[in-house]
Amino acid sequence: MKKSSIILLYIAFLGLSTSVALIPTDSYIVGDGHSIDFKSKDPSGSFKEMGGDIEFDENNMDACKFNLKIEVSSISTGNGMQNKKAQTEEWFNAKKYPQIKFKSTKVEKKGSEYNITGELMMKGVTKTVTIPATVAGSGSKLTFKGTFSVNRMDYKIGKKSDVVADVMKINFSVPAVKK
Amino acid sequence: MFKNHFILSLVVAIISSCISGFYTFNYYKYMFDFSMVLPIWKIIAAYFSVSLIAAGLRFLFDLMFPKFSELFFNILLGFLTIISIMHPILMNGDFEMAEMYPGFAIPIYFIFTIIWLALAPTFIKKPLK
Repeated sequence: MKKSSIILLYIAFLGLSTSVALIPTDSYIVGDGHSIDFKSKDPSGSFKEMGGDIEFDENNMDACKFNLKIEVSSISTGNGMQNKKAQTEEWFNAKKYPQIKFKSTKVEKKGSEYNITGELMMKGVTKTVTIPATVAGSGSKLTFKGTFSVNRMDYKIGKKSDVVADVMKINFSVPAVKK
Repeated sequence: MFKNHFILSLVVAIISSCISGFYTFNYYKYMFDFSMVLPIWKIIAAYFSVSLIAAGLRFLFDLMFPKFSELFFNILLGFLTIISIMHPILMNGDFEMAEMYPGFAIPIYFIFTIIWLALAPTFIKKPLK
């Protein structure tokens, strides 16, 4: 191989690897103003505290990752007694499982929506769920919004009851701020 | 002559990437997942970049200090490796389990240097004249 071609190859490799290494990761953290609301016939409420990391590149779905955590103790139903009850062993068992966790495994783009598939862990039970979401904003601040349903019986949260609905509708709005 | 340096850099980058990839993959799987902070593809790209820069530098050292190029280069490489570990230590990242990050990342900085020092004498046998 000619000396000049080795040098050209060297420069090409160096340029390529350096430019790839310097690509910034599109990493975000959950910002203020988030809301995780659950709604049923009874009860309804929200979780006030959540956090986590989000990696989002609208042009590269393989690079998108969501790693979110919700504090069970931040549950708010508008009724102090219900909030305390929700944290007992029968319901969320907040002492043993203080967080609800979601970790994405696949993100797909469907038109203007995104289908975020991942593992939702509540009360030690992990189930694969697909959450539809829309994204608003660009650059350093994005907001993910969507609605999905969760059957609390799948996660052994509480007992079958005529008073409390099995299926809870979850509305979320999660702002993500670039790191 | 530069061909050997170039091949050395590619071999070191490939081996370092394999070892680091294995370490990182298992750390993320069994200990804690820092892939949001340091994805594996970024480690591999950085190894190739650093390895190619090291090859160019070593070639320059061979031209400038024919007798002592290996000694000077290895001292510089060792020094830069030790300095570089300050990066994860001082990073002060705003992410979960940030206190565990230096313990995870520091071995990655040493893998490249160890592989380079192990393989360089095989590829660059004699100082240039």
